Amino acid sequence: MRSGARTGLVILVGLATVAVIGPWFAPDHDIQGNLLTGTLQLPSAAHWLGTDALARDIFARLAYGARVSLTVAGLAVAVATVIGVWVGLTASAPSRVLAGVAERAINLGLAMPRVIVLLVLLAGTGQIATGWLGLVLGLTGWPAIARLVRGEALRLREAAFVAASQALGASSGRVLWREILPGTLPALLVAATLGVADAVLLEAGLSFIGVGVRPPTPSWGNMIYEARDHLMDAPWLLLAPCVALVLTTAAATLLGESLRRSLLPESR
Amino acid sequence: MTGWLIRRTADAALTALVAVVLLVILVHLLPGDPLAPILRDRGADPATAAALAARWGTNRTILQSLAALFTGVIHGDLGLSLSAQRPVLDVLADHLGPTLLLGSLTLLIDFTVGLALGVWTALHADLATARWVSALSVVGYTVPSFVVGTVLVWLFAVKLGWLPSGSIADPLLSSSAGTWAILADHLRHLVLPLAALVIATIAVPLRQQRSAVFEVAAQPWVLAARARGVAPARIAWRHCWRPALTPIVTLLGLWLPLLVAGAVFVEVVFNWPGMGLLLAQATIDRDVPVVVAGGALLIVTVQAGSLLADVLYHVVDPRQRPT
Amino acid sequence: MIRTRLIAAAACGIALTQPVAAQRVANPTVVYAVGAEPAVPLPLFGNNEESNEDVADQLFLHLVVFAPNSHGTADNAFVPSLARAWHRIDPVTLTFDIDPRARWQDGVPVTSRDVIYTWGLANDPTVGLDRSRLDPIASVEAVGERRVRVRFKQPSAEQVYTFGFLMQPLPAHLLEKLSPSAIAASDFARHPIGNGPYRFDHRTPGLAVELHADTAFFLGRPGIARVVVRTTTDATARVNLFLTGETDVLDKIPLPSIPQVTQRAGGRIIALASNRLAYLLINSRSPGDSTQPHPVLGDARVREALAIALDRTTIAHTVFGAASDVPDAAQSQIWSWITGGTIHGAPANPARARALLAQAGWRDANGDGVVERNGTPLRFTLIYAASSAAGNLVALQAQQMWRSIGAEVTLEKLDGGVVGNRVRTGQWDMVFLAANQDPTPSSLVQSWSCKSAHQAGSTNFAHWCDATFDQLVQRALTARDQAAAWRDVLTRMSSQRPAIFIAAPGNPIAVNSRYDNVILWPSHTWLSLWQWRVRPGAALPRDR
Repeated sequence: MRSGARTGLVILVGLATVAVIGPWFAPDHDIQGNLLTGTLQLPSAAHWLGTDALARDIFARLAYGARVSLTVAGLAVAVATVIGVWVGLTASAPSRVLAGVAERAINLGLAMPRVIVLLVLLAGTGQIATGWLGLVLGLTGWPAIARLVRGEALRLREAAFVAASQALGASSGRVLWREILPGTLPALLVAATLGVADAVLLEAGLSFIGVGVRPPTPSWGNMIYEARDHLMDAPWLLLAPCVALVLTTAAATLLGESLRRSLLPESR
Repeated sequence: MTGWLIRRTADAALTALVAVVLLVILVHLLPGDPLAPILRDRGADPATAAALAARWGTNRTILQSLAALFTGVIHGDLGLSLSAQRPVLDVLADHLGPTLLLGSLTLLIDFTVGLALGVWTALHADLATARWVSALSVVGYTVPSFVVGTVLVWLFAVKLGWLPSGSIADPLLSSSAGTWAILADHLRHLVLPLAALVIATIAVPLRQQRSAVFEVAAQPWVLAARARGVAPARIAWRHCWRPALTPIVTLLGLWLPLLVAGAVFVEVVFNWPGMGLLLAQATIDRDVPVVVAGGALLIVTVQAGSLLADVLYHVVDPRQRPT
Repeated sequence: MIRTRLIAAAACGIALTQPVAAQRVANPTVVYAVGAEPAVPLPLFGNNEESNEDVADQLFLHLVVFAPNSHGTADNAFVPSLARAWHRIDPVTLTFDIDPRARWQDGVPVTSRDVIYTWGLANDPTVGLDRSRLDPIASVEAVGERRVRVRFKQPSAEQVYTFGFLMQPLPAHLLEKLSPSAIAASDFARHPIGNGPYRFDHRTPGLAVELHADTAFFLGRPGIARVVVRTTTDATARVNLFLTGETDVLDKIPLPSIPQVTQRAGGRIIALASNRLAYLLINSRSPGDSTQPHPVLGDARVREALAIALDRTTIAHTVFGAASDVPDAAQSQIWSWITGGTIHGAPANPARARALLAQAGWRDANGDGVVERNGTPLRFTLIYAASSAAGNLVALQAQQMWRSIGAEVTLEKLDGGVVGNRVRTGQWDMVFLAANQDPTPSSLVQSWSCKSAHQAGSTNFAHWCDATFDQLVQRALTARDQAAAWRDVLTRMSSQRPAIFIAAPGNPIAVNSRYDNVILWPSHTWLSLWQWRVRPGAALPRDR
């Protein structure tokens, strides 16, 4: 039962280690090799994961990129979840006024095309710091989570145990925190763990409209984006960041599952 | 219930209105030259630039744009696309069909096969196969859809030659070809993009359902049924299925807009002439009339999706009083 | 490398080894894919979109077209098309005679009225044409049913091209009743009626446009009966279409795909000269105050040092392929005749670049790896559009190479619209641009002359103005030895370094091996498509 959590933790710690100390072991992530002969090299002793179209070491870029991407994705998911839970719970609250405002905020947030919002917010400023990028992605990503939480909370309000708890005289705040919030966790955890992959891929997509991280700083997103042109002649360029991304999502999923089990012990 | 539905619909319409106004303001704030799709890398002397700006309405204030939009809606004329130089409504209509086709089939598969797999993987959590299915769906979700798409094209179109590499139909197919030939041609073109989209999305309903079934399975009434010796399959369908539907209904409401928004990368890789491709290109090109009209359509679908979800909550769980 | 301006595969001997009946090619077809939908395939109204121009070339004739194996743009470099003949009256006057056999596809004869009408459209600001191209023309008038007289403002060797090639008449009798600004959105634009080798057959929105040969075309029956132009936005998807045999020709082949495409095309890749030019434009004025010199890039020695510090050959080959040339001035491959058919740039010389900087007083006093002068470090920003993969690769390599001479460049990858805004408002130091050049070198005045520097809305973004350069251009317009005169112009430009020219890329085009008489043109690639043939015996099912 605990093996899933352990595997997830081991993967995440491993990735974090690579992100923190990997860059010291790997060569410089900038252009090093010969641009005419050193490009698109297969993995070797000198370049553990090969080189890209500009003769840059892929392992080095992956390690540096881990810092950027894990920061962006982690922040984005955290911010989106916190705001999403808060707004979503408010939208399910018995208070009509408050719930109405929150519900309309969710609907408005969902309706705005995210790319246009991000372009308006970011395009004029050029590239921004990693932390800010994560924050902005989170600030534009919460409505979907809020909607999910609202749906779950509405259902739980009608559930027998909540009604019982209310009948026993529990305050509405207590009901919210002790009964409803834990009840939304299963759906929330699935959304949040998949959200990590979403954030990294969104960052890759943003490269296309020029609002991602500033080159030559590597990120998994812009590695994936730049490798797209070489999917046919050098597929290993894509393999490295994709595997890293799959590992991250898998680890987050495993951790999420075991978190759900420990928080809701009755569900097996 | 009827009164609630009317109130709720009016409310959705009002929210949509506010969202459209916000959208027009946002589009006004977009950086870049609004005449870019016309001028490209050409120059324009002041007389030409002024004539173009007047003709395309790119020098309007926010209020003028809003007024033009609302009178346009009343007259059923949303102006011309700057890059296609055709009525925006025609352009949207051309791209909406392909996206609806691909989107509705994806949703259909996701919410039938995906949900069934979700229940199955939850009820047989001890089976290695079930765990693999669940894990693979996450891999499919995590790997960028253009990678999945490109690999599918490479394998089934370029290497094996079984299926066309993209597009929605064979332009060489004679228009006098029979209905079945045309249908078969569409199906052949549908297979790969549909597979790519399903692989990229099925994890979400699958895992939501799996997680919901886990939760429901721990409820007292299910435990009681199990204690009474009811067969597991019967428990699954009688007791677990319906209560676990709530997050799925939410998800369906959230995904409904995908029907009209399209999936940009899958459409790009497969050259599927849909809304994703159109709106992404229009945004990059600053084709403002298309961005506004497409965005407004999206806004309306989002409201419709949310309305539908609220109605479905009630159907799924009649105890939920609509408020 | 010698590059011919025109490559025509010789017609192969036809081997009649099979019964004639089995070889009948009833419907010879060419299918090709373009990156954007040819939504308005009309001359003048094509929005500068290549796919529109390509289809318009099949529907609407130019007055004259390039002569086979011609060089330059002199009077004798053209052959008749819609115009049967032209006559030079004096150094500023030409007359063109329209071929009396020419008909619009609705049966109405083509006359001078159509030419005059189209000339009027071109000058209408609401049409939105870049009118600087028409600047040399003083007046156009009809002097007969089928004769027009064109007067130019001054003598120039390019007059036949300027009017004869750029003029693609539209049918006055069908369009006169429309206001010029309504034409692009009219039914005519949806279903054009032309006078060329092809008729517009039908369009499937988002998918394809189909053209059918006009079997009564007055210059001869087209060898290709059907042309299908498929819309395919993504370059990789276009490659896949060619690899699966769904299309017959492929241009703009992405560098990584060239080996695969070569294999599929049976080695039949035609190295066409290209009119593209990739360069880093330098702002020598201070950002924000265009009257002041740029604190760093205003110094010609700094610009020179930055230029020679770059190993442009490596950059050009890694980004644009081995068929690229490296020019020192604004010279794409279609202008290689100016320098005797080859383009040679000065080789990289980082040592000399460092010496130049030292000579100009730039030294790294504080040891941070970046040189300074009077406390100003050699730092600047290079902006480029995010959608340009080439821009990204060029910028990253240049950044690395400049580091070795102590110059530090910050890269800003921006949304394309933002790049345009920054450049137009002067808020920039250096920008990566890619441009398509006209066949005529006098088009240099649009982006590099003093006149354009002071003209609002011109493409002279750097407001570059050099009186000597302008004088040399004036001289070249009428010079007897065109190549020598334009060579002087380019030499002057390279000495002033208004930009760092990175590459004059080539344009490899893959063509299915079943075609004979394949004629391609450096700009207007598919202009002579109607003269292609499908080799009997090699026909595919779609040709039958």
